Order: sequence, then C-alpha cells, then structure tokens
Amino acid sequence: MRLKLENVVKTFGSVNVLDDISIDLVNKNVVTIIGPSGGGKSTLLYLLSGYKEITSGNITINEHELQNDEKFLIEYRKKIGIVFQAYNLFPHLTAIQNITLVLEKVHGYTKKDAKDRAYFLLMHFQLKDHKNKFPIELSGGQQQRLAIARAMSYEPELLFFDEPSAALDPELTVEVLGTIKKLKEEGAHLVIVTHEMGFARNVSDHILYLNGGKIVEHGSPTEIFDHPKTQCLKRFCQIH
Amino acid sequence: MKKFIKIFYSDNNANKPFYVKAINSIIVIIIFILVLSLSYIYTVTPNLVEGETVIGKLSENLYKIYEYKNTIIAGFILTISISLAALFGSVFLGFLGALSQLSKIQIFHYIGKFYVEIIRGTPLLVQIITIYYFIGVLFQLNNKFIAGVLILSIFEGAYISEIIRAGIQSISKTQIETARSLSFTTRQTYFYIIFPQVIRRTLPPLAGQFVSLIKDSSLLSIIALSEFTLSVQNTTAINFNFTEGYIVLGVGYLILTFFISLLSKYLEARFLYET
Repeated sequence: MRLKLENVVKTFGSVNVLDDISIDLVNKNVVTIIGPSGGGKSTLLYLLSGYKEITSGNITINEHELQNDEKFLIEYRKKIGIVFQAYNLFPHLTAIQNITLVLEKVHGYTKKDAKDRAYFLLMHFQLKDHKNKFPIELSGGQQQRLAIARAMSYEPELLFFDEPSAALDPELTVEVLGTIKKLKEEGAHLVIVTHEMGFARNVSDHILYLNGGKIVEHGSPTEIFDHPKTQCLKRFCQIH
Repeated sequence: MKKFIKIFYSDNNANKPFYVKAINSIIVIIIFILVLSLSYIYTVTPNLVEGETVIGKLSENLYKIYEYKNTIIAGFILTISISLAALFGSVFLGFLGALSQLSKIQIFHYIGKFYVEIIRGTPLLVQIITIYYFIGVLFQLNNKFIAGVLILSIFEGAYISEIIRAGIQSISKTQIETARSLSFTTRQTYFYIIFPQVIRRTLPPLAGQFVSLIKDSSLLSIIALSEFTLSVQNTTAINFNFTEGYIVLGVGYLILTFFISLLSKYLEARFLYET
C-alpha cells in the first residue's frame, strides 16, 4: 500500500482535529493507528476511507488521489471497505441479505452471483449456520465477523477498521482480531485503528501514534513499542 | 386460595396460562354488557306499554332496523370502500407530507409543516364543510364519494405524515452513514435501508390511525353521503328507535376496526426482527 499525506487538516467547528499531518509510506500493507482517545485516530481513518471530507491538504492512497467530491467519493468507496466499531449491520436484513443487498444494488451482481459470493464468505467466516438470522440474534463477535464479511464481499483493494474490537468482551476480541490477522496473511491491505497494543504489535507493518491531532511518532512495531522516542509515547505504552 | 388469587394477579404478562386470560376477559365482557343492559332497561322501562317486555321491545325495534337491511348494508359497504380508498390516499399524502417536511428545499419543508399544522389544528367537521361546500364548489367537485375520500385522505394524511416523519427520524443516523460508506445512493438508502425499517416501526401507530380513519368516515354523513352512519340514521329518523340504531352502528364499526387490529398484530409479528 502507498499512503501519502500532505499537510492534511480536518476541522470540526473551530477545532483542528487533525493538525497539518504529513507522511509518506511505501509498501506497508498493514498500517495501524494508535493513540489516546480524542487524538484524531478515527477522524484520520474516516478521511482515508473517503467517509468524511478533508478540510485542506492532500491524501493519496495507492493510485487514488482523494477529492472532496461526492461523485468521486462514491466511486472510491466502492473500492474500499469499512468496518465500524458498532458493526453497523442492517437490522431488518438477515445475515446473508446484509451481504447480498450491497452486492446486488451497488456492485451490480446478479442475484445468483451475489448469493454464491455471500455464501462463500459466510462459510469462510464460520457463519453459514447463521445465514438466515437477523443481526440481533447473533453474538457481538458474529456480528463483527459478518460486518467484515460484508465489507470485503466486493473484494475491495483496501479495508479500514475503526476500533473493531472496542465493543467486544475479551474472548470475542480474540475471535475478531484473529479474523483480521488471517486477512493480513491472505495478503489484504488494511488500515486499522485499535486500542489493542498486543494486536497492533503483532499485525502491523507500520504504526502511527497520533496525539493532539498530530502524528507524534511513527515506525515499525519494534521502533514504536521497544524504542519509543518521545515522552508522550513512552507514557502511552506504559499505560497499555 | 393461592391458586384462586393467581387467577387475578399475575406479574408475568408474557406467559399467562390460558384460563387466566379467558376468565378475566369474560368477566370484563360481562361487566360491560351488564352496564349496557342496565342502562337500556332503565331508559326503556318507563315507556313500556302494558304487556310489553324489555326484551320484546328490543327485538321489535331491532326488527324495524332489520327491515331496512338493504340500505344499511349498502351504507356499510360504502363505508368500507371510502375507508379503503382513503387509506391509500392518506398513506400517499402522508408519505408526501413527511418527505416534504424533511426536504432541504425550504418551500417544500414549509408546505409540509403548514399542511400538518392546518389540518391537525382544525376539526374534521370544519374541514368537511369547507372543502366540500367552498373549495369543492370552486373546483366543481360534485361527486360525493370522491369528495369524501379526498377529505378523509387529506385529514388522516396529516397525522400519518407525522407518524412517518417521526419514523424516518427515529432511524439511527449510523444506518444512513453505513449505507453511505457502502456507496448506496440516497434513493437506494431510502428504499432498501430506511423505508423497510420505518414500516416496521410505524405499524402500531399507523394501525391506530387507520382505526380512527374508519370511525372518522362517519362524519361524512354531514354532506349527505349515505355511508353506514347516515344509512342507520335515516332508518332511526323514521322509527325513532335511536338507541337500537346506535347500538347497531357501534357493533358495525367495532367489527371493522377489530379486523384492522388483527391485521396489524399479524403484520407486526411478520416484521418482528428487533427487540
């Protein structure tokens, strides 16, 4: 994955949530964003995924130079997948319909192709026995796996995770993080916001430490966790 | 003794044994019928001529109504047709009203708001007369059936528009954002994500509104539309048996609305997917 940020600023009201961020990464397939709450992690993820608009600056991901144009963003979002902290499944659709609706209506699959693809994914994520259940009938871990299955159903080139395990208990966290790790092993390109430091160390090619709307430090897991340079990151690592 | 109390006191509303439901329902119905019969006896007795009984008087008066059964059945069917047509009309206007209230185009937004405020703020009786005798005359609306359906649709549509608007606004914003993140267009988001959830959530208040609609159609008798109420009123005007006439009316409307209740219960069960 190529990830290039040039003087990126994001403002909500009068607050600079992201304050002039620049970075240039090449060939990092799994990029993790860590840092304290309110540090701008999720906001950066939302900008990268074309989910929110940039106030100023430039973002380039792979060959996509992001534009603040809804038409462009719709096309861009078709090529990426987002997994949210709260799963955000559609409660009125069954597990399999949650996947097929997106494939049929947005990506132009035929009914049969969509069904085959959805069935394959449900198998892959050990959800095939639950295919006709509504989200409310699934456990948190199953819901998150379904959300992941939905996000990758149309074979996006990039997957974004916004604190995918934040709403799960420890056991289900292991289950979901294991699923994400498997995606990495299969060669997927991922951008992950997480509070799970063990997981971040384990899965990341590159880690960004965000605090106060700035990238305070970034580097490989060893650089970040074993040799933190700034006082700020040292303290953060001690807490977690 | 304990078992006896258990019939009348249950703190588990979901899992009551059948006999608890049956016994309590029957007692309530008996009390209702008792009060009704006592009032009937109390009204009728002073006017009885020698040799007449209360039961005899009741059946005699009911028979007088029965003699006009063809007119009354025609009225009943007319009420059903008006209600059915107004049901579609009001849902259509309700959707239109809700969408225009939510519209970002300000003139639509205020048209929607104005519609709801005017209609909900004035009595149906006033609307029937204004629309039929003034606005109707202007547009040369002479067909009473169409006028009736139109008036009812406009009236109930205002309430339904509020129900639907509240339903749409109750869908959590994350649903819309998720749809956006998956590249659904606005139209697709409404059709596949929002409306299906709105239907489920608004079903109970909508059913209540449809029940009101059926009952409100009785006011159309004011423009001499011979629906159920007017057809019964016509027979009582001949026989002076008002009490029995209104009993027949009550039972007739109850049958219609009870059917709506059953239907909504069935539909609710079908759309049940969230707790």
